[in-house]
Amino acid sequence: MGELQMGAIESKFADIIWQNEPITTAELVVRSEEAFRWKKTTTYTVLKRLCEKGIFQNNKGTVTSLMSRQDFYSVQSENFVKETFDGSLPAFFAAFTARNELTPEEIAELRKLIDSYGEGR
Amino acid sequence: MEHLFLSVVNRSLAACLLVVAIVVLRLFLKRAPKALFCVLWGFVAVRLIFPISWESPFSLIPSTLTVPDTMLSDSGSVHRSNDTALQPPVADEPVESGPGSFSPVGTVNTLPSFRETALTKETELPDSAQNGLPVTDAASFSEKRPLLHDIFLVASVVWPVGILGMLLYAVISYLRIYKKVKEAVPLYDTIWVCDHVETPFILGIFKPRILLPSSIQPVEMQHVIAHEKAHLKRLDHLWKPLGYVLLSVYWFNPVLWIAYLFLCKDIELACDEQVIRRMSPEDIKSYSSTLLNYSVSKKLISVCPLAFGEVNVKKRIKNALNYKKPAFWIIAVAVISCAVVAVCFLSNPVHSESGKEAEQNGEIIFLSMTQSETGSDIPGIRLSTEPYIFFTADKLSDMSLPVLWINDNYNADFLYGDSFDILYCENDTRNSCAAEEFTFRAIAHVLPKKSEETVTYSLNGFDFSKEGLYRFQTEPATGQYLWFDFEVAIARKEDPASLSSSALLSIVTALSKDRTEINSILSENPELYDLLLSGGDNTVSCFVNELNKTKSYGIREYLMAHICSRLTGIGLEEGEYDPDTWWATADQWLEIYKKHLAEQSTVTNTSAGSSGAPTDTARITGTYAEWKVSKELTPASHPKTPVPRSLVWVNYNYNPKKNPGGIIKVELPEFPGVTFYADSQEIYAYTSEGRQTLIRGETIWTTYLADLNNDNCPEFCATISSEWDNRALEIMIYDFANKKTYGISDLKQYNYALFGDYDSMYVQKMDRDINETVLVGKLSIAGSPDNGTALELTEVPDALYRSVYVPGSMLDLLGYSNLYGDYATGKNRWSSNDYCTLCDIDTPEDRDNFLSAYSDVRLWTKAGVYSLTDDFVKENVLSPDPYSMEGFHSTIVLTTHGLTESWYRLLIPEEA
Repeated sequence: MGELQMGAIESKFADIIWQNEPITTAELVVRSEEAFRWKKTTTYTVLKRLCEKGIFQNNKGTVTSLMSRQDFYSVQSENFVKETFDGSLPAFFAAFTARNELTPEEIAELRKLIDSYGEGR
Repeated sequence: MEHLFLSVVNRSLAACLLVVAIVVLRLFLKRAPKALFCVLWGFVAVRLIFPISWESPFSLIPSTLTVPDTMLSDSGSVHRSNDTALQPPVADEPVESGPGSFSPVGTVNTLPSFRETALTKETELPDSAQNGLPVTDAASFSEKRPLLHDIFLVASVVWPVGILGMLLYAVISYLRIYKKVKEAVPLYDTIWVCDHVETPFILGIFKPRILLPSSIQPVEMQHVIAHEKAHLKRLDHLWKPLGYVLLSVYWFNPVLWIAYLFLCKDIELACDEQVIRRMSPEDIKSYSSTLLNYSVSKKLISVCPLAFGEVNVKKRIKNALNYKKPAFWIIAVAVISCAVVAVCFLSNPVHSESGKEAEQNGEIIFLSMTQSETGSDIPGIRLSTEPYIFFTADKLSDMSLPVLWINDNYNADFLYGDSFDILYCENDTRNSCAAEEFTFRAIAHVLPKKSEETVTYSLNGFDFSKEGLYRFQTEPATGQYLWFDFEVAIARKEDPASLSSSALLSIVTALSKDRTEINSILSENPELYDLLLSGGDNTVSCFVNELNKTKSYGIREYLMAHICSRLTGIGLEEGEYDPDTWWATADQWLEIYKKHLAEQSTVTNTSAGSSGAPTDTARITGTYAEWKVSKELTPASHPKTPVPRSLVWVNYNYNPKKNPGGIIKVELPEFPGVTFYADSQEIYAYTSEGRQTLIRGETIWTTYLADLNNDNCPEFCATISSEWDNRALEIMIYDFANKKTYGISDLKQYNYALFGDYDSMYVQKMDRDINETVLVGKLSIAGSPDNGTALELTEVPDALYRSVYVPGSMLDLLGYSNLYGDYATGKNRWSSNDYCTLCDIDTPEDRDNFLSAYSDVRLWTKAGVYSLTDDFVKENVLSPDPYSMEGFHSTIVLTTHGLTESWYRLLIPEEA
């Protein structure tokens, strides 16, 4: 898989695809031009790169995704926790909550998640 | 390529000093605004780019801080002449008559041209052995080619490769970044956001863009943008690439790399300061942490992007946190020091001038150099210069000498430097006349095979106060010299007459070189012409002496005669140079001027020279065309030679060819504005009203100018052959003042011929049949314009036959029966030989008797008036008949052989 990283702009580009897939390259070019003022070649270059990373695929002018946005960012978070907190989610959580107050709604949501996770096993 | 490289090296050496100075200054002026240092780095760039020619006495660049010549040449010297200054190779060489030697080259003057000289001189390259110099032949010289020479050769190939490498690196790194930047997204203005970049930076020279990493935080953004915008404002996006380009060219110089690094540093620091200046302490803190965030660990030199964090972030943070607005005095000190540094290191050292050479008794306005000899110790290489060079300079420091280096036989490209020396030749020694010991900036030159190059050497710093022979000398390789000699002549502004003879002669030689026309020479060189004319008598005597010495007459000599005539009013018909006529008449003109000069010094001159002319007789000078000159002469000391009232103007027999210029003409002071012309058939005049014929004839033999009517104006009197009968001689007289014509003619029986004897006009009436003179009469015009005028012929009795006129090779005799022979027997009549018999002698005593009997007789020649007893006359003019044999009496013969091309009149006093 390699580095599954995207810069901020690439992320926006990826969002365009995820939000509009399947999308023709032509339309993608137009949208990119609107959003980023990119030339056609630039759009193709970035697209190619993301395809090589395995995130999207280009089938004869139609672009579809190989992994969903959700999946992608999951991998990101995983990697992040792995690298930053040695894979320890609790550590992450502790760090996160040290500075960020959780709202009651968020706590409730979290609890539901943990419970369903445990049950899912 | 090699010499370009060398000049680059030299320049970078000079710049190095400046860099060192700036670095030192930086240490001391830590609190000074860094922007100032950017300016200083700019000075370095200026020094590297532009050849500085601004000199100041404050320049701290030592003259010797250059690659010395000798490094380029033989480092292991093989031969060393013992005393190079005294080597006199010149003396042994044959002196060719070429440019510089003043001997004339031939009638139709073509002094060899510059190129021809250069080529012919090749054969004269001294064989060193001949002249006592160490022998080096071409082969051995090339073997000893020095190591450093080769190093330079290699270096000059490596150098451009290095430049290419640097530039290539720049291009590649630019392209890499540019690829990434294609994906940038515009934010606003010229600010873009981009993925995959680690630090904010500026890209682009003409349309610079600020690029921010997409991960930038808002709080950081304002700092970064402020910083980068400061860069743009200061045009750093131009200076840094420029610096890199310079660095590429001077890549071999480590000091300049340091300078570049400092430049980058100072640029960033300067921008930091710019931004921080108006920030509150909190902002500064946050600025610093932004710096920290973007500190780039890479130490690579980057070309184009002015990356936010690329330079020594730690230092910058420290700087930012400690920033205090510098006090005014610090700024002032900093600015002053910068100015000082600029002056000290941007200017060149002044070439030293010594007091003695610069102004020498006033402004030098003229210096001439004429190359005579040249020599070379290096086979195949030689020097040459213009044969004649004139400088008009207020100061010697303005002068420069162009020297042509010629490589026509050297087996490779020849490397040489700029150093040279000028030696003054005195007696047999040569000593440098450089004002001080100093080394020249050794710009190196490369002279490829079979090529030439002119190098201009400044003569500033040499003492040319003495005229004479100098030598230009260079030493491209230790112990091996190239040189040429030249003459220097100087004139001073206050005293144009101070032009020495050599100066005058070199001027005319140069002016007339390769020329065929006088008028164009004079019109093209008005300054020099005036200079020649300003000399007055000085010039005239110099030219006359030269003309005397010279063996042939060409345009150069004609020019000198022209100048003389301009200055004295004597002699030369103004007109274009005609080689044939000039040749024919040159000697004659020379006589005139010699007389003129002698005239000048007659008053105080007791010894009358070797000619032996008696001092109690006055000299008579003048040509037969200058009425006014004759009139001016009043030889009061000799009563018997009054101002002539009749003077020959044209004598057909004497000068059948035309005068120089092709025209016989005269202007008379009595008739201003009129020019009189004569040819063999007409005498005419040009006035304001046009052309007017005065006298016509089938042939006009002799024309006199004589005042017959005492109106103090000359009349034109001519002996002509009649149109009706060629054998008949007539006399025609035209009174120009009164516009009247008179004539004497008798076609039936008598010939009338004119004869002027200096104070009167005589007519000789000859019976054509018996061929004898029957009457001699003095001519005059009697009467007054009102009553009527007529020609009068007053008979002169026999006893008054006065003179024997011997014009050149033709004898014009008029009665000598009193002296010798019998006219009637036809014995000594017209003779085409150059003699006339004066008396027969049988013994030496007869001769002495003759001479003492005629001690009053004067021989009137162009060279002077002599007594017959004069030694000079006795030896040269009077001689015993060469054909006398024993048994035959000899004769005293008046011959013209002794005084060539002169004419004589024997003045015999009236018998009381």
